[in-house]
Amino acid sequence: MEKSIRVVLVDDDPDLRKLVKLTLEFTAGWEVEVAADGAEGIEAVRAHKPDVAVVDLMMPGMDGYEVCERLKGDPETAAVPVVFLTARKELDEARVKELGVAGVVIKPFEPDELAEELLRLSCGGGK
Amino acid sequence: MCPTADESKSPDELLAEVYREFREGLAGRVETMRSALERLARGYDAGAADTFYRTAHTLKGTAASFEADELVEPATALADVGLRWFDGGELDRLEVDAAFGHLERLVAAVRRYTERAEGDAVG
Repeated sequence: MEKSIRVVLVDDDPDLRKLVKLTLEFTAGWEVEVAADGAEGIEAVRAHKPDVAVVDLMMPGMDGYEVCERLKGDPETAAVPVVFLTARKELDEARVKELGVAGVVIKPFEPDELAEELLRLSCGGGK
Repeated sequence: MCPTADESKSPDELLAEVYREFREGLAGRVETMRSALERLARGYDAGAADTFYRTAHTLKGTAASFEADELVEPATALADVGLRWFDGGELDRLEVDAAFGHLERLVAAVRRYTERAEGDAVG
């Protein structure tokens, strides 16, 4: 049996979390764990060791950059590819590069194409 | 946390439910922005600026992902004004008035989107 892809999605918007979770589960058959903020997201990545962590950039408290920095600084989670979900306006390209982010999905995204895009980015296609 | 998917429902039914919840939550998002804007109209308030900007910014991205295209332009206008307050810590009366105007356009857009989406759901 083919191994299902596991994702941790970190986004503070509950509607968007539900939309992405359902889309990835039903269109792609992926396993999706969700987290509502950065601290919860880091814990979820540590606990589930996903194939990719999808992190909203603009969140209250810990933003996506800090979440990524902490994940990359922890040997337990450093290898997990991180993909940012963001509106282009807020993107700091230099910091994205410095942090070793696997890729960026710009909102709005096409829900039906999201799994394919995440797969491409987390396998090195975004570099 | 998201609730566990109800296995008695089809993916289309679950998706329709998520879209319905998004529509039902729009009034709350508008009220959050209105309340923050009313506080800002009385004078600069960092907490209100933060709430106003984050709510508008989140709505801008989420609305587009939910194909609520009508909401994107007024939400973007609100987020742009909000970002200046969030970053700058200053506001002027004209900007506050403009933001109230953008908010009213958002309210009208929410009405149009809701009618369209509910019409589509019935059809």
